[in-house]
Amino acid sequence: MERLDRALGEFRQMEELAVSDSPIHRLHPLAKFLTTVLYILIVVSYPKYALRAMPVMALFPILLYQIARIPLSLCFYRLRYILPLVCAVGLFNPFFDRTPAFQVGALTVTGGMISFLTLLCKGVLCLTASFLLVATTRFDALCAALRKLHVPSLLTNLLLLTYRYITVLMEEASAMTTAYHLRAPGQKGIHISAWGSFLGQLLLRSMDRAEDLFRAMQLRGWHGHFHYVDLPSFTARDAAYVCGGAALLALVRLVDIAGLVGSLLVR
Amino acid sequence: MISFDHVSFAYEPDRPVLSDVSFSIGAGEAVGLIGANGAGKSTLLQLILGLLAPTAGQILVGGLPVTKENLREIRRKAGLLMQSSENQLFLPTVREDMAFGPRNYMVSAEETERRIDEVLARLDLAHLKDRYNHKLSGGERRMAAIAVVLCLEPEILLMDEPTITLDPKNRRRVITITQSLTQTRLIASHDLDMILDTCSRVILLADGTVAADGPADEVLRDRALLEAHGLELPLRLQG
Repeated sequence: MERLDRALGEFRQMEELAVSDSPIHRLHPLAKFLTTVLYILIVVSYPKYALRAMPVMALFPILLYQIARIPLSLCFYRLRYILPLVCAVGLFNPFFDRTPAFQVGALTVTGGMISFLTLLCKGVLCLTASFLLVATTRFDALCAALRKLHVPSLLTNLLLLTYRYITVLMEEASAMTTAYHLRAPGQKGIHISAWGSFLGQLLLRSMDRAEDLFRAMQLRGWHGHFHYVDLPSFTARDAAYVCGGAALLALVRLVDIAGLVGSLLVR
Repeated sequence: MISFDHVSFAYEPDRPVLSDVSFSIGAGEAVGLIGANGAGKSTLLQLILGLLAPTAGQILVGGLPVTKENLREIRRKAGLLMQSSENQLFLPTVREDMAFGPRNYMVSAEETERRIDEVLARLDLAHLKDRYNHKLSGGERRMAAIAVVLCLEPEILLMDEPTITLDPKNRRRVITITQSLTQTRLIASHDLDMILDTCSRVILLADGTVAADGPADEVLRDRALLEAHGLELPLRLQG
C-alpha cells in the first residue's frame, strides 16, 4: 500500500519537476529530444570493449544535471527498479568471453568483463539521459515535439493516454490494496490465492474509471486529437544547443579523448 | 432548451430504466431532478448529452435533436458536472483542465486564457489556477470541476449530485454558486434541501417514469409523494 502510494507520489513529482525553471527546462522540447536521441545513438554506437570512452560520455549528463539543478542521485533513486535489469543484460558476458585482455595484479581481466561493464555503462548513460529529458520536459510538450517531427498523432495520442492511464491504474491499485490490508492485518503483500480476483477487479475498476475519464474528455469536445501545449518558437539558443551538442558529441565519438588524456598522463 | 418526447431507455432489453418520459425545460429554468437510487437520474443526464442513445422517443437540446451529427454542438451548449470530480479532472493542473474544452472547440489561446481568468475570478478560485489537481481537497476539486464546465460557456448546465461528499461549508458554496448561475440548469440530486434552495421546479423520477413535475415548493413539501418514492422531506421542512 505504502509502496504504491509512494510510487504514485514519485510519478506526480516528476510532473512537478518538469515544470521547474532552469536553462535546460527553458529549452525547446524538440531541441532536448533531438540532443537526447543523438546522445543515446552515439553511446550505443561504441564498440563493446570501448569502456574507456564511457567516463567521457558521462560528462554530458553530469554537466546537464547540474545546469538543470536536478540531483543525479534522484535519477538513480527513481530508476532503482530498472537499473538492476540493465545490469542483468550483460551478466553472462564474463562467462562466454574469457579472452584475457590485461592483468591487474593477480586478476586477469577478460574481454567479457570489459564488455559487461561497457554494456552496463551504456545502459546507465542512456537511462540518465532519458530521465533528464523527462525531468525537464512536460510529457505533453514532448508529445507536441514528436508531432513536430511528424510522428503520427495515433502514436503520440497513445503515448499521452497511456501516460495518463498509469496514474488511474495506480490510484485504483492503491485503493484496492488499502481495502485488502484493512481486512488482512499482519499479512505482507497480497496472498497468492487473491491475485487472480485482485487483478481482475483492478482491470475492471480501472477500465470503468478510464471510461469515465474518456466521457469527460468527449463532453469537452475531444474527438481524437489532442491540442498539445503551444510550444514556444524554436530560437537561435535552441539551435545552438542542438548544433553545439551534436558537434561536441561527434568530436568525442571521433577523437579518443580518454586515450589522449591517458597518453599525456603516461608521458 | 431541453425536450424529452416519449423517451425510453434500457441497458438490458427486458429491464427498462426510463419508460415513455416526456417533459420540457425552458431557457433559464432551474430544475431539480430527484428520485431514489436507480431511478434513472444519471441515465437521463447522459441521454441529454448523447453518451447513451434512447431506445425510443426523441430528445431535443437547444432545438437540436440528439443525434451523432449534432453531438459536438450539443456538448458545446450543455456542460455536465459529473458525480465524481476525480474523473472530471484529468490533466495535471486546474488551468490545463479548464483550457482543454475551449481548445477542442478551437477557441484561441488568448480567449481561452481570458475565460479561465474570468471564470476563476467569478467563482473566487483564482488561487487554484496553477494548482495540481491531485493536490486539491475534495471541496476544491468540486469547485475546480464547476470552473472546468463553465469555461466552455455552456447555455445549459447539467449537474449530477453536485453536493455529494462535500462538507457543509463547501456544500453551501456550491449552492451559492449554483444560485448565481443564469444558465438553464438541470440538477440531479438526493440533497433535497439543496434542490429547494436552487430550483424553482422539480421532476420526480420513479420506476423509469415521471412521477411528479411541478413547482419545487409544492413537490418537495408533499410528504406522502416523496415517501411513496423512497425519499423524505427536505430536512428544513421536517419541523
